[in-house]
Amino acid sequence: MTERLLPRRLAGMLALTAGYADGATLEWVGGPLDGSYRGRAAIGSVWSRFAQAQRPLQSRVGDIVESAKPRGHKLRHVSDGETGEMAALIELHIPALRRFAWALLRDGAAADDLVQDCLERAISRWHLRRHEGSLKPWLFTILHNLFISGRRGATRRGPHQSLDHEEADGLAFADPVAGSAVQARLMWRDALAGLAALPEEQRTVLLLVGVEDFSYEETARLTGVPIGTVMSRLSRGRERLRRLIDGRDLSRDERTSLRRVK
Amino acid sequence: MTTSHAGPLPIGEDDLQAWIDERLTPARRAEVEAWLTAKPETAARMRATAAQRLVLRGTLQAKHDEPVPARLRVSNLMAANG
Repeated sequence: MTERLLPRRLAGMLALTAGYADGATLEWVGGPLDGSYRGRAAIGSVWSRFAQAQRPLQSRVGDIVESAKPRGHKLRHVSDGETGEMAALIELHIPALRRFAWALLRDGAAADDLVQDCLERAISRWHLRRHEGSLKPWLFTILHNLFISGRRGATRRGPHQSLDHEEADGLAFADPVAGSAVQARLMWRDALAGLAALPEEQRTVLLLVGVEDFSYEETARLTGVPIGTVMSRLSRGRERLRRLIDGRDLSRDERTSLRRVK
Repeated sequence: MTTSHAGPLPIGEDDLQAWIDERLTPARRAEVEAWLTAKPETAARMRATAAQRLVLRGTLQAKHDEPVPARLRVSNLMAANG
């Protein structure tokens, strides 16, 4: 059943579910609709079946609980807790947002400032997000946009900001493959230093794809470039990082920047 | 990334990246790996790049696993902003 084919009022019913959080649940006790429904699509279909059975119905969903409660049926519409639910949904992604921000900025306080800006914006625009998309790309898009606009407005600190050594030293390295701890340390130092020496666009794509596990399509949407550009940034960025870490084929610029971040 | 009826598609840069990211279908991965056996130098670079991806992930995992600072709790942000 597509929205197009529905009577206007029914289409409106479906549109009402747009305000629901991802994890909204509806528990309908008794009657033909008895059951627990999770998610907008499931709840929307219940509302539309209910509307068909109950028409004419000119109530908003918020009122349905009171005005159109089927006699003898207990209807519990669980999305009042949306504030709490929003918090829980957003917070799931904070560790990854912090990781991405830190890898972009390599400065713990600045990274958390960026994450905080991102979260504040997400909270204030919660009702505007596109519901068919999932939450994670939406949050990362906000953070990435803030990062870009912050970079544009910031006083230039040079293309290769120095690696925050204290921060880097605080990172434990978990690599089951590397032989000795010392070698592991060198490896991750190199990885971070090499990452810092990459052009920003390449670094961003490397992180979104290689660390945050976004698909190439999601990365293209998130950064606002065609997928072909994502693939070429990924390919060039990885090749450059490999050469930087292998220490071969370094251009003079790359040598300098790598020394500076080490 | 489906195999065409007229035989396997030529290996592209996107296939190589997807190989590194472990995102190829098993069938396509087999095709890419068959292609790589004839190109040992490319294969070595690919393996090095794939290893680097894992190093980078491992490195940054520690940041991910840190406790979230209280100032980033959504409830605290909402309280602060009314």
